[in-house]
Amino acid sequence: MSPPGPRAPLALDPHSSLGAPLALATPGPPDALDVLESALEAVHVADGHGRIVWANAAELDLLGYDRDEYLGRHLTDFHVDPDHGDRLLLRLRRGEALVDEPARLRTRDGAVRHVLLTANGRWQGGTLVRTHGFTRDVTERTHAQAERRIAFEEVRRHRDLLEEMVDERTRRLAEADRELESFSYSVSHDLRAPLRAILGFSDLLARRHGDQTPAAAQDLVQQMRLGAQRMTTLVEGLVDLSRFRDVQPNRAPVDLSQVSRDVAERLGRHSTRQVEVEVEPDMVVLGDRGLLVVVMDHLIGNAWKFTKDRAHARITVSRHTEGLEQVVAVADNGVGFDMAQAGRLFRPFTRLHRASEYEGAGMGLATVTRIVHRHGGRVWAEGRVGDGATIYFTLARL
Amino acid sequence: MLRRRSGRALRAKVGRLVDILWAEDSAQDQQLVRAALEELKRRSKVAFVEDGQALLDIVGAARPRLVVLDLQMPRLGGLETLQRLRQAPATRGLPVVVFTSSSHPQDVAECRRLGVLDYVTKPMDFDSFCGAVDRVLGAVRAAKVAP
Repeated sequence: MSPPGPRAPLALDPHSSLGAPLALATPGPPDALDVLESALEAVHVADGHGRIVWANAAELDLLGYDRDEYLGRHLTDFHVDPDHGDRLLLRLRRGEALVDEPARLRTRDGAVRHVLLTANGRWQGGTLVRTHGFTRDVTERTHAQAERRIAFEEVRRHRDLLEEMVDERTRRLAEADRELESFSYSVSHDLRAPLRAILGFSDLLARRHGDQTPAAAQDLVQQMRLGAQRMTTLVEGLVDLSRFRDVQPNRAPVDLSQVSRDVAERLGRHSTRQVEVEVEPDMVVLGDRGLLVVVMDHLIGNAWKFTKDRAHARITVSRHTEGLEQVVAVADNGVGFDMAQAGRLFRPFTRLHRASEYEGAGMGLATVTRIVHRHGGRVWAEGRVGDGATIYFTLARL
Repeated sequence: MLRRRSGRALRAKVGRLVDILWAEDSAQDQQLVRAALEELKRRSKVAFVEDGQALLDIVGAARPRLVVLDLQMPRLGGLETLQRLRQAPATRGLPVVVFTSSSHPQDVAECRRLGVLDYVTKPMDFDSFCGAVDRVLGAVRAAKVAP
């Protein structure tokens, strides 16, 4: 072993098979070995068998050896996995150059460094005589990556957990919603029979025994009937709303103009009022005909109802296209509403007017909303107190 | 054989015992139907049973021209009763009208599939109720069932 010296131009093992001194070691400017010696990257030179014949300060520093301990050792001695080291060496012998090959090296005190190895060989007459190795310490980076990976895993686990919790709650909420809906359907359904009895028997009482009943008693019976009728409206509204809960729209082209005209004609037949209904022609939309009839029934019916104080009541049904949607508008010149209350309009059992002024259960727009949502559309309203209302809903374009 | 013939002969003499066998579990609805029949001045002989099972028990003996079924009934509901009527050779072709408060599309479709003459929902107010009962009675005339 030659005595180590930090600047020794030649630190070659005398038993090296290298045979000839390194050309690089020849004095004269620039001293390449001197340059390499002071490089920050770890550099070594090994003989054709993998024995280290030269290493720079950075490499010694990396692995914690003195130069004289290090030189002459076999490259694979420092690999945590010697087989991996052998394989790398074999590839070099086959003429391959190594570029940034990950490997783990063990330092003198037993610590493991993660490195990237770049190496190539020098050949003489078909024999590998030297290898040049450049070793980059990426331990810190690897650790940082590992930590990031761990942190990422942690975040992902939390996210998965959160998603599971959200899924579970959504499922429970949907279940509760279904239960409530089916409960309200069966309750409202079961309420019909006793209501029918109250209405029917009070009617029979008036018909068959009216002449024997004092006028005051007849009035009381009439009040009972009004109460029962009002409750019937509510119950029917609730049953309607439940019925459209799980409905699957059967989409086909529907002539909404025709549907609107039919609805208006039917309303006109049962009304003594004159209402001008203007329907845009040829409004063909994609939707479930039966369900859209219910929608237009409610919307035009509402417009009809809320224009009752107008000398010239006017309802217009029109459509325009916005992007991928068709927007249908039902507008009237009736009593309108306060925009601050617009959100409440669509809630079940919510009414902005007194039942004595305008009849209804407050279920119409809730039902409309449900049907439009089942079609994948949206509903909203615009209006001003005393200045009419417009209800809009959207359907996908044809 | 002899007994059957004499039974039929007897019935022909006194007229049909029952025109309509009506399954309705609600005593109040039964009473409303009776009141409606009176209002309509119908002379049809209507016998009520309180559920589907009671109907199946006597339908063979009663031999009605028309069976009316409510859908929601204890013991045996209307749909099951309808299915059993359709399975038995003797009652397979019996005219059936459904008179119910359910307007569920699924119920309507299933009843239509099993071949009912009509599906009538019970209205809430009495005038409409009378109209609905009239429609039920009309079904048997429309079917032109031989007495």
